[in-house]
Amino acid sequence: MKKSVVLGIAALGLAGVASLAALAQNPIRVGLAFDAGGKQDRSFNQSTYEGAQRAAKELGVQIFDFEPADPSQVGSGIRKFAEEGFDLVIGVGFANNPAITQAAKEFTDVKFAVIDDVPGEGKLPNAVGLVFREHEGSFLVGYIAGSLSNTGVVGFVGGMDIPLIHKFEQGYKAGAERAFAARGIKGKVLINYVGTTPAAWNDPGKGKELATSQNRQGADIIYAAAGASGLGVKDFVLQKRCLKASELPAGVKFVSDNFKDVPKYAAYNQACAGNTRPVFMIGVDANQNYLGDTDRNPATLNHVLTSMLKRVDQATYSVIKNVKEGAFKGGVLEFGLSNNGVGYALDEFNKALIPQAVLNRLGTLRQQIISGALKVPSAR
Amino acid sequence: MKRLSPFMIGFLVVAAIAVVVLGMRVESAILIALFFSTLRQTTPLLLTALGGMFSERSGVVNIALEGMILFGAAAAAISVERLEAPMLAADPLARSAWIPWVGVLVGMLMGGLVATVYAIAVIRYRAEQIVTGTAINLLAAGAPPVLMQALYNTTTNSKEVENRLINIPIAGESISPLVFLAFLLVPLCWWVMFKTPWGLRLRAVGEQPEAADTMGINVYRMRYTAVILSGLLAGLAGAYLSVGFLNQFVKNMSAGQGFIALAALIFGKWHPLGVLGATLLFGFFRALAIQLQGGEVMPSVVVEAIPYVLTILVLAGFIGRSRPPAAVGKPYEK
Repeated sequence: MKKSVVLGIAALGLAGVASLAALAQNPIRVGLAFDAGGKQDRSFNQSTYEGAQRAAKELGVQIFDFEPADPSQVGSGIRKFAEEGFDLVIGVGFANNPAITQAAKEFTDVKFAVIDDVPGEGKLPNAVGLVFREHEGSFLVGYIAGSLSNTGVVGFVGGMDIPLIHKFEQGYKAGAERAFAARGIKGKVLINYVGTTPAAWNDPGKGKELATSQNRQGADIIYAAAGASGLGVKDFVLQKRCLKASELPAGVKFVSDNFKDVPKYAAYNQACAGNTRPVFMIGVDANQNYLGDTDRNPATLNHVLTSMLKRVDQATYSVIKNVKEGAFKGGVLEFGLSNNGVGYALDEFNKALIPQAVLNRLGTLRQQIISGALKVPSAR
Repeated sequence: MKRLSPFMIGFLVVAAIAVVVLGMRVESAILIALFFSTLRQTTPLLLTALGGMFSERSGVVNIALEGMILFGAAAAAISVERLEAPMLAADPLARSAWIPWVGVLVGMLMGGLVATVYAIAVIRYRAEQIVTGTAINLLAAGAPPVLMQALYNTTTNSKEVENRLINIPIAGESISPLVFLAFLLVPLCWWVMFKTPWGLRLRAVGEQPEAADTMGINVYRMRYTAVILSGLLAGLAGAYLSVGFLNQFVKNMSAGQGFIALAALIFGKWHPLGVLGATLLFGFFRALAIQLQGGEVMPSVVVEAIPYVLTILVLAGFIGRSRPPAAVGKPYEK
């Protein structure tokens, strides 16, 4: 009797060692299916990719990724991951939700996550939706734009015209209008979308055309919530550098001279002598502040005013960590201002651009949003 | 050859009126933006359609223009990025005036190379032109992503280049030198096509290759030259998209412009001036659709669809008649 118990325990121990060894040989495998923007979009997809890379380094998981050549391939890419018995499959973007939901119902021993949407209406035990309160972060960057615009006109370039991006739009608009009201000026928020199909996430040419058009109408700060299409907006502001008084349309004039004390880089002084004001982009999802630097010197004027941070990287990392630690739960995980899931970026590239007074007011607004005293619209 | 037909002029007038009416309803700022945007949207269409004109006038349908644009765009962006990499490693702020032009040249040559492959298949081996062209278009959708995966570890976008063509500033906008080049090519193409012996031979080969052959014209050589020329121009259009207007290559960035150029070629009746009118019209509607995005005037998708509806009407023979060169699409056998 005793012997058999000892033997049993020994066998169990052996099995434990064996399974540990097996675990070491077969680390957790995570599959990432990107959307049309591609993993180097400097934005949403890239942020996910970076979160996964961090998980690979710190948690020792293996990351496999899949960039669909066209939307019709997403389904089979996700299925392939599931069929190979991956531990976790993450669909990046709402467009991957139907494929993930389908696969989650079929492969019940594989765990799934969708970023920006809720798979299976949150009822699947093996699938989780990672969603964000983008309107809250967008409100804050909108407030920055409204406070610092020198023309009283700010722009919004959205990617695909869908409710998800309307959250960015509405938050930004509300924030900018609140700042305009606080300054006592009659401001304007221009709103454009790149398109109505997933191709809108990766059309920098059209993004650039829209930025050009908004700038023509007097916008000096443009918020790009458009995935890789935002690179076109960035390209525009870096080429344009400044708005001249002579280029302003009828009815728009310079109402302030913010940024006049910010040291400028040489090419700016050369191109923007006289009565001019700098033009800016506001980045999205990842911290894109560095993209506005033209002279590899963060101290001089940079053309990205700030970035609306949507910590997709955090969300990705935490869901991978949950799987690794066996704490994965199906349903919905929501990220907002209260748990630092969204916010705005402040670093060496833009600390000279945003005055302390504005930062103080942002702090107050943030508290009001978290406490519920201030309601930010999330839909049109 | 008939001059610009009344319907062409009619539509240009309608377009002009639309601009004026819109101009009164919206601000003049938008109007200026619309004007420059039209130029930018027209440029790649015009370059490609002019190229396609040579090919089709020689009797070879070139449905592969779309693919040639993509190959040209990818080659231009990647060559600029590769050329500037060592320079930027030494000094991140270093700029070079010649690197982007080398990129443009590489883009053109790449377009020409792809056109050569196409020409060998359809002229020498008399392959079905539509099928071969489609094959090249499919290749152009797949090959650049494979190359980008190897170079940049992503299939969608190439690395953004620092050295791009220096734009010429006009009225608060800046316009790529390739825009000017495209419009200057119109009279040049007209002259080549209608005022030179080579142009006469080209048209003869496309209308009556047997007769041209009897007269001692080398039909094959004329067709090779014309198809390669179309590839060079489509490659130039691609280079405009990637390093002229933007600073990177994006997968499928031509977004069907090769096909639109082909439609403009038919709309413009295989004539340089007609092609200019048609591409301007198409470019105008593309630009208008962009300007109307998000506005309340008219849904932009409707505006975007207008050129395609027009093309269908023209092809169906409802507006004017468009007659292709007699021998287009038919391989020539001696």
